[in-house]
Amino acid sequence: MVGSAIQYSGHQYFRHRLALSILSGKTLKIDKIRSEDKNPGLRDFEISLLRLLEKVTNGTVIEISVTGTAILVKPGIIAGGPLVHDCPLSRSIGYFLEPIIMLAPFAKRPLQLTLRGVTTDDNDLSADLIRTVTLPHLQLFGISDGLELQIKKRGAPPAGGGEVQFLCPIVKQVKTLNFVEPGKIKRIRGISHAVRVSPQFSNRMIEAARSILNRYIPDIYLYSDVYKGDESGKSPGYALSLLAESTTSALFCSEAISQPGVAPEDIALQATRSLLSEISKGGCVDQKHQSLVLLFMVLGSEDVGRCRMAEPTPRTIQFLRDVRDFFGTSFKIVSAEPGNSESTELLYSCYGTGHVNANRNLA
Amino acid sequence: LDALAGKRRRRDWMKDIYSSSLTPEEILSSNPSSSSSSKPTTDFDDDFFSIKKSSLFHEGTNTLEFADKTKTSPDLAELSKWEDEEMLDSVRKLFITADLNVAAEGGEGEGGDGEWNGTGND
Repeated sequence: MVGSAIQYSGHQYFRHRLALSILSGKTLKIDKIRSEDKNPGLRDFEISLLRLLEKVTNGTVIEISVTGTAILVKPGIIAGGPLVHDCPLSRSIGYFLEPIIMLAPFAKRPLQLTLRGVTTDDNDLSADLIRTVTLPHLQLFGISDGLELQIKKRGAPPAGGGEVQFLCPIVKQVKTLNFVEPGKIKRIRGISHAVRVSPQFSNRMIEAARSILNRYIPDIYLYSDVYKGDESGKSPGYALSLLAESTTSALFCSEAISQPGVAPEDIALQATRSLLSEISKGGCVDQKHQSLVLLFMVLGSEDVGRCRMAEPTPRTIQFLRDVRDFFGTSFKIVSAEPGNSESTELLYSCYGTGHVNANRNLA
Repeated sequence: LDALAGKRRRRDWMKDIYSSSLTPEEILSSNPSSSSSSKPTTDFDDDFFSIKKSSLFHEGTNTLEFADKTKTSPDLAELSKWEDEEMLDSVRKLFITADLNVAAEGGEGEGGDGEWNGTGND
């Protein structure tokens, strides 16, 4: 078994490699995890993620070397069911939820996962973006009924105190994607929240974002989401999450969160400009969701899936390489508009592996 | 000029991704060939515990600690472009309201904002 293990070095791209290992059933070995660092080995959030994956699956064997610089993962089956996990405060719950979203549709039982910790930070998708942007992407693949993320409490860094519940249905197989028409942006939505600071901050962010966005379309609704008392976590903070939806349901998103000494207006402008930058890159899927969409394309039925997207990010490039290691699938990537030399948009297509949720039949 | 643009377009992503050994960052940097040659020559080994620098670490300690981020930190230079009105107008064609402009050019004469002209060519 170890002979067929897939091997990597370094701490980068940890999450999607774990997810790919569990989905493909192939043993994963990672060595040289920060071995050159003054403080070598896995970090608390990485260990916590491994523990969470142990809970979500059944029969997974995880071995960590004494120094913490190497791990071996022999994946079991994805079990699902009701689970609770406390996330360390060094990373937001988005860090943990993103790989779980890749796995949950293929579980034996529907997953009901409660995560506690930081709900919004600078590194990963916030609970708001996962709820409003990431989950709708799953609907493209026929995963929709009973798919939900509830933000019960918000938790800003550093002390957190937030809580979310993620409910995910199971599927037998994901649909083949054919998403090549980007459409035009028809509406913009936003969620502005402020916890343990003046609720006025939230309104100031909305006003600043509107000062740029109002020129484009009338259908803009920026919602000020109020959480009070115990539901607002343990630390002060505020953030603006924006999303733009096109006529063909392509979604683009951006986000900016409070920084010390920066006015709420400037945070809002940063989020707004990031949204425009994301929209200007084009395609049907925004850059933060490239890997997720490509993964479900690979897992789709044995047919050619196609999706139009912007140029790949470094993460996406590595993801494409790793997908080939685990599933043997490579994508065909060509210009989406061969006649237009200015277009940087690309058409990604692949032949689905026909991944069937075998766990489900074991019930 | 056309040849230059064509050269950029003809970039073979599949070859770069699947059959080169460049790191993802090297692929995305505009001239991948120069990055390998510009490596600094090895430091003197006077420190016993010298922190070895490799391509994994070139992004600095912050990335080392908080690797595997989904959101990229905002590129301030990229964002400051959007302070410019022309830049803001350049994405108008991606919104449904751009259709009004096409209709106006078609002779309906409705909502003829002068500043919208020239963005309607599909």
